[in-house]
Amino acid sequence: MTCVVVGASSGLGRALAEGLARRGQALLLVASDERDLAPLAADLRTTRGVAARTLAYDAADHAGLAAAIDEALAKDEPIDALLFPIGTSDDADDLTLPPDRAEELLRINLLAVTSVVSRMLPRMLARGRGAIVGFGSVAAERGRGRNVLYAAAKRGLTSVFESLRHRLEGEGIAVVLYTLGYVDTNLAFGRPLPFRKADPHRLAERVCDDLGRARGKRFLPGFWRLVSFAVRSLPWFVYRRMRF
Amino acid sequence: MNPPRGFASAEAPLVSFDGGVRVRARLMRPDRYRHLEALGIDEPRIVRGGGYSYAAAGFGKGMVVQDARAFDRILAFDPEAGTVECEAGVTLEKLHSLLTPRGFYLAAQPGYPRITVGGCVAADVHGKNQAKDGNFARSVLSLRLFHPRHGTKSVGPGDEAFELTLGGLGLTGHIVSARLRLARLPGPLVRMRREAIASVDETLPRLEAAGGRAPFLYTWQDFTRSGAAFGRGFVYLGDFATEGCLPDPSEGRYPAIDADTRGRPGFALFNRWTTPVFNRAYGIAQWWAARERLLPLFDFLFPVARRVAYFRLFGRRGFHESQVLLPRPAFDPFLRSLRKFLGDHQTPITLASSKLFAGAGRFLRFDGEGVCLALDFPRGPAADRLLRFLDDAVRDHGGRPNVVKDSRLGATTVRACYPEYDAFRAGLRRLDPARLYRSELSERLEL
Repeated sequence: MTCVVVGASSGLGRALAEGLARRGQALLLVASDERDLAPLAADLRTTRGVAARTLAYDAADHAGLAAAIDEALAKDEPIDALLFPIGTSDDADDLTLPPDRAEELLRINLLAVTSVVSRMLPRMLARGRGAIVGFGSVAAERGRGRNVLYAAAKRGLTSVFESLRHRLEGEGIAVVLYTLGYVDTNLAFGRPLPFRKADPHRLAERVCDDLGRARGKRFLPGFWRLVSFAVRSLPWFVYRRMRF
Repeated sequence: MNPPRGFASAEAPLVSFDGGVRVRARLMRPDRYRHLEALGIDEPRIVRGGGYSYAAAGFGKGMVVQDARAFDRILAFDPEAGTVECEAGVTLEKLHSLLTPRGFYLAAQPGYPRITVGGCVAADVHGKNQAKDGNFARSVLSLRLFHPRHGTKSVGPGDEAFELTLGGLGLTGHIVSARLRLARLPGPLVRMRREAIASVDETLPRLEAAGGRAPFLYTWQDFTRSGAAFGRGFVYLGDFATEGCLPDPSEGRYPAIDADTRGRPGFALFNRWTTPVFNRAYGIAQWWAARERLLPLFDFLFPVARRVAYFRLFGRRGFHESQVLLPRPAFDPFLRSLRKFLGDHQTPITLASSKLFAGAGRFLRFDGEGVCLALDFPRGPAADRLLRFLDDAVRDHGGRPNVVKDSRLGATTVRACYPEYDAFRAGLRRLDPARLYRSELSERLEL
């Protein structure tokens, strides 16, 4: 039984891989650079004694990614969970991005997830167990002048996970989308932010503990539900003045 | 500059562990290999591990600081050969929890569990068993070293880059990973025996007498006493215990300290009046404790983990540590002149500890034959006087100061005490004429 972690090499993805390995889970670790994956897999094998395999693939080629994951798994290998701690943002994501980079944001943040899920769905349905775990962002709760396509992709992900949950109702598969706030990773490092950044290891612990039980849309940590509600409730004449 | 994807850096205030050097520098927290290559090829830089070097070895003004702690993965463990290979950001604690249950340990380890392997290599650290097991360099079988001009290279004994990197203060490039030779762990406990030392004159004879009996050997002495009691204290003998199996319940649970938080709260409790009281109280507490104790290996190896309060007592202002290595014949004359100086110039020595050394020094490695003496004292005018005295006395007695312990040591002293100073400096330039890897420490020592 294997957990597939797409976006496993750093930040939350790496923390999830470590958390799952601590629980004895066999892993398929997927990310763009084998140089990051190989040491992580070696560490989890050595320190936790779990089977950890790696797959280096550029998620922007989402169809290829889905096929490569399918190939990397044995034919009837049961999947315990598909986790998608994958995402990329761009400082120039304010509608000035060149079209190919704009498309890349949508491919990595949205289509990589849908393509892999579609490809894996028959395996999961056949088994009638398991979990599909996505990660959204509070940045997608209300559109802003920045992170335009990133937010659009993440909002798309919310819809996809609603659909997925609806489609898989009664099939025994737990579908959950965690909406994250600021996470203390390399990407957020050095940026002055209005709220505390969450430790990826603590987030990962929550996700691992609730794996297979959590369903629907969750905020992580929970206080972001209030922040999100507040941001969505702001009347336009206030919201238009907000700079964040 | 348009930073590449996923590359973030920030201006951050950095401080040396002893509180002596404060600098704002551009800090990078890479967690993927491609981030290491993303930095412009001409940017002066230095890699930082746990940040526990007392001197500013891991940062400096105008240098990009690359925090290497995300690269902390164990790559291979071979129980047959008794080796481990790991990334340089791996902490001693992480290795300890892998190795101890499997019957291995690292022979030379400094006293705090969050120190990284890269830091141990760069500072060529030692433990309380130096005379028996030598410095950290002795267990390094090979290294992978990254330099933007050469890419990543594997280096081993015989390679100039390898020799320069052991105790090379991180100036030869980015230590990516290390393959280390492990020692067999005779038992998970250490039996510690305490014997009294009546005065400073007994230091060397007692160490020498105990030398054959115990691999771990050090003294604690009170240098705030005067007259015949100067240097009164204890010698501690430690050896592995093969029987008894106390579990290691304390592992991973200890108060954390790092260079940033050491100075909290801001005020200092050590001064010329309180220090003798602290020393006396510690001595009495030691008398009360059992003469022989069994300690979990973790507690024995990493005593600093249990004593972080000691470092906090120096407050924000900080402390000095002067650690010097003297040839055996010079040790007593050195102590006599130090004793005279302290008699004339009262200085609150909060810690005085000696141990035996055996080995051969190379470049700026703190290694060699003799006796090692470490002194801690709070910063201030009295400290400055003592340090000036020590610089001269160590040089005159043919000794050498540890460059990673003293954040104010000058190039003149180091050049005078280390015969291979010039060879090290020249070697660094042969390896990289542009001298890309620099720190406050390397600038101060004119390397």
